Amino acid sequence: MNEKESARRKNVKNSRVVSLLSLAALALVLAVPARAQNDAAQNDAAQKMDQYLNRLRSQKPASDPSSNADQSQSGRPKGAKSDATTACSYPFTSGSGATYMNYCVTANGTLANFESPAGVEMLDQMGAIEGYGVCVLQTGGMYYDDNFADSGNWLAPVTLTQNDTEVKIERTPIDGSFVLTQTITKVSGGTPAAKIQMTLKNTSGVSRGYYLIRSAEFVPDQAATSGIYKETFDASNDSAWGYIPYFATYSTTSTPYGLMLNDVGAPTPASTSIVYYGYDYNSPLGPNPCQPLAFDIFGDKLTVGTLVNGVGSGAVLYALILNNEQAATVTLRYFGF
Amino acid sequence: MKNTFRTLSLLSLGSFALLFAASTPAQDPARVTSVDQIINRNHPQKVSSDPSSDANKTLSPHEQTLMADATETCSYKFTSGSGATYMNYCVTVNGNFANFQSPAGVEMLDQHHAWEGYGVCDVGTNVEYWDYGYASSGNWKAPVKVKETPTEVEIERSTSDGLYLLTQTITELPGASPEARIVMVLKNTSGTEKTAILSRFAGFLPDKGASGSNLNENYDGSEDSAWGYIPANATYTTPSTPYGLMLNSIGAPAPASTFAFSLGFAYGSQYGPDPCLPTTQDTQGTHLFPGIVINNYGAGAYTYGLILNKNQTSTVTLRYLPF
Repeated sequence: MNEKESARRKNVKNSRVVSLLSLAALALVLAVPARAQNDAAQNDAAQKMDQYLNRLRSQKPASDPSSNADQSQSGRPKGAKSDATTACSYPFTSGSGATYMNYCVTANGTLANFESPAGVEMLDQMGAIEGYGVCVLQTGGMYYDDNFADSGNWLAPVTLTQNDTEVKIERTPIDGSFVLTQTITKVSGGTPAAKIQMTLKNTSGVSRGYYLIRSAEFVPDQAATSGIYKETFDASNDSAWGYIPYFATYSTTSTPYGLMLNDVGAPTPASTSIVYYGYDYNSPLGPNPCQPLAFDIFGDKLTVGTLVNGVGSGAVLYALILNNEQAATVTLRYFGF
Repeated sequence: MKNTFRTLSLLSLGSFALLFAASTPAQDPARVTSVDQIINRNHPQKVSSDPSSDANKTLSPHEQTLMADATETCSYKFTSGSGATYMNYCVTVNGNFANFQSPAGVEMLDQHHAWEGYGVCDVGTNVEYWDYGYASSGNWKAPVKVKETPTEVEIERSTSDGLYLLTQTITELPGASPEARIVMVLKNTSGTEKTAILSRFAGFLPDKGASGSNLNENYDGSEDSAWGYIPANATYTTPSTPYGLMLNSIGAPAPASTFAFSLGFAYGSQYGPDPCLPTTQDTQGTHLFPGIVINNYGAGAYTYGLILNKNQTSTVTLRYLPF
């Protein structure tokens, strides 16, 4: 975590009381649609994103386990932590041609890449930025890992099970206040997908409210070779996605495919779910888990909503309320379109 | 001789594909407001199947009546799940969708009727065969229901000239990620090799389109898909909820030898694409500008270029999935 994030955390009041009402109110604030910025603001944002992207891309380590690209990190932002990794640990492959899917899960339970159909890689363009975030609403505690950086307050991940189609990884924060168990399953066939089941268990000793977020920087398939990372982003109640349109109104070297992060069903048990929805925003980084529509993990302000020919990300957010020792399970999937 | 013809066909398809690939800026064709405008230009004599249809002349396009054998009437109904996993859709006798609702309460095709269906173009003769629910080309034989189960319906339809047989199997796939799967098998029954364009069209609509008198939403397409949706953080006012419906191609046409090209696209018209000029004009002859549509009316389609030997079939598979 960088200094800006640390300062924000210190300012968070620790005396908030858990209540459905406060959660609902927070959810309503989150649900308020952001309005489009004016052209000048968008241009500023675009320039900022270019600078941001250049800063990030020049230091991002390759996902190839044999890569030593991340050994020279002199210019790397301070927020990047050593236990965040884009290194591929658990690769999964199925199909061929139009039904081909290949993705790899890191030791931390993030995705190091997603390729589908064959030859169309939509996460790993000089490293993938994909992962998860948790905010404890009462304490303002933030816990995240988006490959590029993490919050630095996690214990080492534990791989519970692993086979040809599935890997199950458990992660606990240093403070022991919850356990996040992720099961990532290969769904092969005509419509291949990577299914991600995230179970958040409250082990804090008291009832708590949480934001649980999955996010991805969607990137077009020729981004690394062309240097053009821009594409189109949007979101719905169920999903967030990035894509190159078949009839794009802008120049791109990439093929017209997209990647969608799609919620599957509702969180279970239903009593734990306050609200959930997808959104997209104009940053390549994961969102600040406690201010997910407002800032990314580096504290840069976000603009949410339709983004055409920009650099951005998508996320699905779940607001959950958990009694002590209670767990909630959410399920998502990535699929190409 | 056959190879030469096939080469020429492939070249013409290649040229056609280039035409498809030309990117043009989106524009807003005039909204259609009278019944005359939805009568197929090739079949101006077709009459409504609804005797009381005169009243429809003052209604919006989606309230207007049907032409000849086209129908938006629900015949084969499929329902599964509940809440977030609920899916309900209905197939007409002709193999069109009369509605698609998922999750519960979010109807994304039927807002004063659904406009959805299929089209075939014979590239060699430029003859078009289509049925988009609101109207049809009028050159189809009556549909034949081959099979019906609680999860599936199979409908066969031949063209009046006997040159093509289209068999559609629409299957309910319930579960946490429900979808309706459509297998379309096009058989060349002409006695000679044919090059055909097969399209599936969907008039995606927002869930409060009818009640809120606002049919506008966003549309776009990719290599594999076409879709319409209300964004989660819309920059415009809409009474509808932020959900979408996607028409997604599954795999490649089989056998691979029949496959020439495919693409998904969106455009700013409520009508189905002209089967022989799918990215260029709709069935009303209105010029189309394929590409992203934001806060307007529109539609999406998925198109395959197919090469069929005598008596050969090609199978394409698509699905409707909510998002």
